[in-house]
Amino acid sequence: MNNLLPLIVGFPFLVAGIFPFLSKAEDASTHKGLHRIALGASVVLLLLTGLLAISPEAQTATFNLSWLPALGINFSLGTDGISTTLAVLTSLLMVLATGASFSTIEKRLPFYYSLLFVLIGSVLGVFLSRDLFLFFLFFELELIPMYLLISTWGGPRREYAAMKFVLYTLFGSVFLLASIIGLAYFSQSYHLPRETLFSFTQLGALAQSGYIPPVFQLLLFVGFFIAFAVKLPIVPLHTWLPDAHVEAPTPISMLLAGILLKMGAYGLLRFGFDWFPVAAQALAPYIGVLAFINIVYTGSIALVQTDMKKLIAYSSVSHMGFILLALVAMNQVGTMAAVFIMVSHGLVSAALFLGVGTLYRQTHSRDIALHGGVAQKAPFIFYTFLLMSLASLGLPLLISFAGETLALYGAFISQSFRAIPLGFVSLPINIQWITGLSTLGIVLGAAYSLWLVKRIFFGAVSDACQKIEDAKSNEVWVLGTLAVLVIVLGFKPQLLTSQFQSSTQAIGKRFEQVLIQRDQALLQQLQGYSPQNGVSQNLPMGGQ
Amino acid sequence: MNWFSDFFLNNLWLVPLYPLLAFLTISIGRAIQINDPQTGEKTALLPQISAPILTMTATGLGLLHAISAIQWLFAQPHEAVQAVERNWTWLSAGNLELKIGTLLDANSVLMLSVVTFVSLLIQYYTHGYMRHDKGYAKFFGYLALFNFSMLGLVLATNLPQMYMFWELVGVSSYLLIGFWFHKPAAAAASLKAFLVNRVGDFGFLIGILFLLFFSLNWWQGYVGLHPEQALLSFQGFESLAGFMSQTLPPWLLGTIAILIFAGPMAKSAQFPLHTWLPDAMEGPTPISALIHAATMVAAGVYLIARVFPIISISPDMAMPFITWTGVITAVVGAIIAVSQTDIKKALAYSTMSQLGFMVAAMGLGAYTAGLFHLFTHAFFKAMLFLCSGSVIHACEDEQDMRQMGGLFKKLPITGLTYLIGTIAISGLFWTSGFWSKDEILAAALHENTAVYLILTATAGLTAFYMFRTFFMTFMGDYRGKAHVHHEDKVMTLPLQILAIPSIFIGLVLSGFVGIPAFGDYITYSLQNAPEHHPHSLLDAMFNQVGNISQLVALVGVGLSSAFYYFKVFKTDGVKKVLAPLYSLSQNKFYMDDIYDGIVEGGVLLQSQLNAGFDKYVIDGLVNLVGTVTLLLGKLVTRLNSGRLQTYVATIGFGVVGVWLLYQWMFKG
Repeated sequence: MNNLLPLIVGFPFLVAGIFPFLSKAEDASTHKGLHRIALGASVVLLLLTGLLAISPEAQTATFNLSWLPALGINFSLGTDGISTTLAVLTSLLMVLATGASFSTIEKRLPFYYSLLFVLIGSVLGVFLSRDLFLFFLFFELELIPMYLLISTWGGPRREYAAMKFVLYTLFGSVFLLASIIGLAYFSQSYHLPRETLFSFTQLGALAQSGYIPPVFQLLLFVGFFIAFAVKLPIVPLHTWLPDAHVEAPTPISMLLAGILLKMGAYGLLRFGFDWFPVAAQALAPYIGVLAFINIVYTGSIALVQTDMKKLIAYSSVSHMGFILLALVAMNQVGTMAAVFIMVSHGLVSAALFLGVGTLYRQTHSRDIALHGGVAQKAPFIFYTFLLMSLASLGLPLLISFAGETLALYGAFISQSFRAIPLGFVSLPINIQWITGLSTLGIVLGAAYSLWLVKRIFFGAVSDACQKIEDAKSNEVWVLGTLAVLVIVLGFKPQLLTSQFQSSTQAIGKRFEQVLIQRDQALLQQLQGYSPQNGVSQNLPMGGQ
Repeated sequence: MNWFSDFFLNNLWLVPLYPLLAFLTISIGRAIQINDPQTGEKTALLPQISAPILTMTATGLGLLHAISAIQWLFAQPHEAVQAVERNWTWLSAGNLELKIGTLLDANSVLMLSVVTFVSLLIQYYTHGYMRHDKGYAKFFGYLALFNFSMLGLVLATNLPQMYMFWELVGVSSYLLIGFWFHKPAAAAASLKAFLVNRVGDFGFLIGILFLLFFSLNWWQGYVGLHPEQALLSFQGFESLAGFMSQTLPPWLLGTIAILIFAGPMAKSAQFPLHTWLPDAMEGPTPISALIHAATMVAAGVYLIARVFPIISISPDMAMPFITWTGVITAVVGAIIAVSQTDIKKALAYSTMSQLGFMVAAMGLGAYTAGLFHLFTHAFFKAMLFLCSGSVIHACEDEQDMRQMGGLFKKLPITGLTYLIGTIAISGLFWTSGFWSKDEILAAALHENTAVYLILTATAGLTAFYMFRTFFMTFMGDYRGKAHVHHEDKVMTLPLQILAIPSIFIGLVLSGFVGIPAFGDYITYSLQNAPEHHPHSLLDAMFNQVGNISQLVALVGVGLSSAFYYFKVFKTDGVKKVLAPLYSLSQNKFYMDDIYDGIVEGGVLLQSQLNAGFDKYVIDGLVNLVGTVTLLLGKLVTRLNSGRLQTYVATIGFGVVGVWLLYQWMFKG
């Protein structure tokens, strides 16, 4: 079974290498053939990751290949519940994005699919790496195909958007690299084995051990945080996302929202919070505020967008705020919620972008005001888009509800911070306040989602939409698959949570331990100052 | 009990499942297109007629469950009903275990029977009303979806489950209000209904989070002792209330209760979150009867009943808040109803007003009275709406009462049943409405005289505006232009059936006809709760509260007939005298305008500001950084001029700079 991991990561690159040698003819039958080859390859990839997910080693598989022993860099892959889940999500969305490409991508297909498979290969590499340097390579590698995909097949301002995307991410990567080097430095200074310098287990154990001086823990955490804050994205590092989405072709938007943002969330969880829980706990008040801003501020911006794709892009940012809130909770429920939302948002946002894409393909406009009454013309698009909008706003028994409810609940019972220190003063705002205010996001979510549905689909048929037809067959099965998943996993979320529950529980328990230790230390400190015993009863409130 | 009813009783989980399966079958079956073998045209896999059959079968099976549940209830002594709770884990995460299940007790039996019975009749009626509509099959699919959500809500064992199905009924309501989504008004009304309810649910959700936050440890102990119960199980609320009242300060108890009450405020159209309900009348009339009169809007009252222990521990904050919200809603709804000319809108405001009565009763602690009124109201209000649908259908979609009149002769069954409903809602002649309203008024008299006086006056106003609609629609001469059709038999049968409980159900369950009183089963074991138990039938019929309320109602009827039947008084004069009140009534207390102002001047404006900030400040800074970098690049390029002098100068300045820095850092 250990051979499955390199196969999963290597297969997309292999396929990518084959495509340039296929026919470059620009006619319908060649295109059809190329699309089908790509679809077949991505289905094989999905089967491989599916096999990994159902294998008994789904949580434990590892693969090691010595690469550059002098530098301590290994080609090391591995899984746990979170990685496996995200790998399956990635390959699933790849199948669906390929399906969506049938009706949207009409030129230079061999090049397109080559890039697409490199993209997917590097994303899988990001999720499955167990060597920090390898992770960094894959993390950077993904930029190249993404840049080319947006700038070649994108909309009118594609070059600006693609460049912005790359520069933004590179900005974050500088911090990522700095943190990686910093960690490696500490690893060296404690004389840890040189051959496995960048291995997750070694660096993670070092980071969690507390041997790194607190100031440097903080710095390293901030480095990781900024790098992944760009990817997630977190306000104010988010403005690349609406532009990139607007200009990207539909399948790329699906992947961008569906899995590329999740790389940010994954990195925040795995390296930021899990490796530096003490630093995370120290900065939790500010991150909590950022989560609130992400949810409510971008939610309100989504409300007044006139461009359909921009609206959904901003709503993505808003939903990523829930992931951040769940992480800040720093407990088992929150960690689970974060991973759950990664998956649920991956499916729902992909479907929403495809839904909008089917309209854009026909009207060549993303302007909401030009659309109207589409429900009468295209019932299938209408019902799936409505379903996905309802899922997006967190309707119970659809997939997002479980994630968002767990996030809110996890944050509400959390002990992660009780005040926001600002220099000399300390604002008496605890995480419960932040969570309560963030709940406004569910009202905003309902408002922008259903208002969009109303403006596009209800009312009289607008002039621009007179000739709109219903979804094509490839779009029907893609949207249909997503709809089935959204409903089934919404009815039975445990099908999903059972995949990663043990992993998130382990991480969550570590978080809770850190918070308990902090509170105990605080308590001892306070008892030391005050002779009475009564102080202890007033301090940690509620919850656990 | 035989195996047959045992099966129905032991498998209550099937009750919501039937309509869910019906919904899924209809939606999938209608979505899949096949080629018709005879005509060669594309048709849906599932023929249209199967939709009503599936939906009504599902509801009928639910009704069988309800009947065996009633048998089960009445087979037990009313003072010791043993509730039966069954749960299945839905999601577990960390210390949270959310469950979904079925709770069988007096409250759920009551709601279960109302929902299935009224639903079945309305579905039958729908067959008549929507027969010629394009979306006939889809409509039944949505009805099934609604039944699934509503029955899941009714049978909910715990607060999170209630919240889930609460949202789902909201979405069914959204879909059904916007059923004719090509009409802009319907599209707007559906959006408004959902969003207003979301605002309420925002409070509701935070209330649940608060509740969990303060009681999580306690619940873990409790569930340990009662393994068959779920977290936040309604059965545990009494003990929870005891725990909370000992550990939390009163203001916090009140806050939690009021936050949870925000949910019912929106769903049960309480002032000031009521504005969606009148707009919701854009939906087809059967929906107005089922969802926006009989069942869903009453879910708010049902929720209050379920969480009553939590509310009752805040007698100085939450209870008065709820009472006065209910009273204001009752008054405002009645005042607005007086000036409405659209028959459905008038009935909608009347629903709002009656919901106000129920909520006020809850706030007064008259738990059984509130539920009793919910129960009787479901029958006569559903009937009134169905009558209005019959009228609208006969008058070719005319809803304006000024274009009606004299319809009694053309539509005798409709007219008669509408009259019965009007009498019942006015609380006259010992019909159903009399008994339930009487209990509320008696509780009010016991608790708070001001509330009693206001509610009694409102009861008079109820009689006035309801008879006004009756006179305007059915009496006098026909004023409209549309050709009036005959009554549809499919539509009048449900009216006739509903007329029976509208007249008698109050008396039957009043405790004087050999059947235990309604209240005996429902009664909540709250100390200090005012329970109204008349000693004999005659005593009950002619007690003081009942006499006064009937008298007031009769005055209302008299005035109404003087204005609208005998035309002794002219309405114009009164309009002038009561000009401020009349304009308030006409403009619905300006609530819609206020909300428009808040949304446009507040929310949307702020959002525009945020969007501008994002575009010009944040992204502006980003682009500025880019531009500056480019400029610097150009500058540096210029420095690379190839001239030796420049290089020497640069090196020179650099050396001096480094030296100065060194001096400053290490010597200074």
